Amino acid sequence: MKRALPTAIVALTLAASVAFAQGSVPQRRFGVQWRDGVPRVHFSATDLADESLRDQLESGVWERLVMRVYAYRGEEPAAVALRSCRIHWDVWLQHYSVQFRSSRVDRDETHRTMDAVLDRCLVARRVPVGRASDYREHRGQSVYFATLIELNPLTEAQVHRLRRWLARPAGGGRIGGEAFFGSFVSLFVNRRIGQAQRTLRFRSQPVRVPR
Amino acid sequence: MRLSRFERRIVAAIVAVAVVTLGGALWFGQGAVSEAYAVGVNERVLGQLRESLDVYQMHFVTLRRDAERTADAVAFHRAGHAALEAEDDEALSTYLGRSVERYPNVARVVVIGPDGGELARREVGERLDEEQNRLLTLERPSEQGGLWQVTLATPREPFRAHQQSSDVVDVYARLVGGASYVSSFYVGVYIAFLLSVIIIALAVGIIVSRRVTRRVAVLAEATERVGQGDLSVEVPSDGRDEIAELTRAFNSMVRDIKHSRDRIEYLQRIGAWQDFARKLAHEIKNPLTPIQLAVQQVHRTYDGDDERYRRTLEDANAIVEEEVATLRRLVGEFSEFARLPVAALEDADLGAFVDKALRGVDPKGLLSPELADAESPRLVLEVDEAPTPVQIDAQMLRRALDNLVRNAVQAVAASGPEGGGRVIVATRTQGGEAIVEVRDDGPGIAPETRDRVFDPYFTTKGDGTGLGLAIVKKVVLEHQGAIECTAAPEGGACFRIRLPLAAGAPS
Repeated sequence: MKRALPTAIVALTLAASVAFAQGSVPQRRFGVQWRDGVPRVHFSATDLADESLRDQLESGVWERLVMRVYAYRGEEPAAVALRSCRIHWDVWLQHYSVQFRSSRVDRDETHRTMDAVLDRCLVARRVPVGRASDYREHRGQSVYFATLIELNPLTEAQVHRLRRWLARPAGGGRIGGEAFFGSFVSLFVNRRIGQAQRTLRFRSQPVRVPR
Repeated sequence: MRLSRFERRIVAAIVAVAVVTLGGALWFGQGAVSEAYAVGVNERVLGQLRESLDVYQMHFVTLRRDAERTADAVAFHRAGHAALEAEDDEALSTYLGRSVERYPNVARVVVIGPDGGELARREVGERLDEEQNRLLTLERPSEQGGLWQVTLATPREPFRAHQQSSDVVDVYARLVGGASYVSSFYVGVYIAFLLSVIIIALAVGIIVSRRVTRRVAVLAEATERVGQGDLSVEVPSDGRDEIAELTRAFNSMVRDIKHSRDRIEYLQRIGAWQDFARKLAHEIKNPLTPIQLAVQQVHRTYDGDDERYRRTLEDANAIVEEEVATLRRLVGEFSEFARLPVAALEDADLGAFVDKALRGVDPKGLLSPELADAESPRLVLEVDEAPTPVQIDAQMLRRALDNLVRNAVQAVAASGPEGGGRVIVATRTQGGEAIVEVRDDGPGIAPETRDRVFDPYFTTKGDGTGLGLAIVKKVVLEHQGAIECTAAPEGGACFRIRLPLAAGAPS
């Protein structure tokens, strides 16, 4: 996990380079504190969780909320912070199971209420975005932060399951269940097969990097 | 790889057929793939799958409610309350035992007193197995200020099944959402296979057409050489297909052309020689009689006494007589050669003709005066008993045959082989032609002179005129045949005459 994270961050950084450069992204107030040259942002997106999102989180199926906070200089992302929550409403135990992951935290939690879950997953509290070296070149310059929140983005594991499904539509255990065309098709299926079920975007006010 | 025009046309034809056929297949295939995909992966099925998850969820809600009710039932029962009230540990224990027996989902009941101490406990070990069951502990207050802790168990399997189903629904939902994306890959793979088929068809077409066109190209090149006058062309004609048949027909045609050309050339040449022979005979023949008469006159009219002069006159007269006689023979042969008639062909059986012409002929009589003392060779006839129908001018062909046999007899006799030697005359049918062979076991003819032996005035004999074989060839050509000179298996020369079989003859 820790080894894969830098790779994932680089990939996400590149992937996001276009995401916030185009179109109008709503702006909201971010709290930013600089410590040791690293910005720590705080903001809340709980108000963006509408009924539909709440219903989905209560469905009893594992749902995934991924939050990425990018630091932008112009149209190029300079740094990124990544955190994800796997959320499951356990109707038997009557609580929410939350698997919280970030660059620094890897924790399984339980919460009694939806608000607590949203507070855990959609509120950023002093989240460090990148490293000091990412901002060294931009001292005294203006940057902004942009947040991308995705509900159930496609994961590698899901892509793997999709490929397996296409290659063996009758199921993996069946002898001779290999699909001729599907085996070839599965080779080409990648993450482009689907986007996240929902995507929320917003950006911060301009923030000046301390000298 | 450079393609010839013919190959390009074949490839273009294959491509055209493939594009039209496979284009249609692609159009239908694309529709079929999209429809087939939509049959298996669609929103309706996804909705049903999601509803099945809802059913699971409703089941879990029911389980939870049942657990709540069970906890209430255990905690708020009169018997339990009375036992607690009476502080009757035995009655409380009995009640707990009855409770776990009555409610199969109760795994453990613990009664806590107001001071927090445990008053009683009853549990079923197998129900507490967390591998098999999910446990839920519910707390209910007691009227005495204590607490009832009821642990309920429910099988874990439905939760596992629910998780697996939700994974399946998730994958299925992705397939529904990416229907156009996935089906485009199906079409893409389909196109890739179609293109592979086209490429393989093209490769096979090129390879096959190459085999054909290469042979056609060879044939075309040979035709060009023939057009430039080279009739020695022979194209290899292995195989059984139409190209091989065409090649064999081409080779046959070239042979026929060559044969016709040689024949025409020879006839033209021999015609010129006949003119020359006629003039020569005329020019020589006219002064011969005056010369002979003049010498005879001088010889007769001398009546002197000079015996020496008289002998000189007699010798001169004898020499002139002899040479004039030789010249007359030559003139005769020249005239005969110049007067060779056009053949008047009639139906005949070649075997019978040869048999009639040569049966009983004494080879000794064919020897020249110079070879009168030589041992005569035997004349052997090997005539095919089956009829060999041909069209011949019997007189001309007999003369030709006579020349060949005479030459062979003289050649064998001159070489003086032990045992007298043999001259064989054979007839047979071969390759749609009638064959007459005159073979001997004499010294043969040197290979370098075989091509020239039929030229007029070419001879290897001291007293020959070089007209015999020229006459033979002229006669054979008049019969639309051919003659060749080769080495005989017996060691001598072989003259092989080929005559066309008469129409209607079995080939």
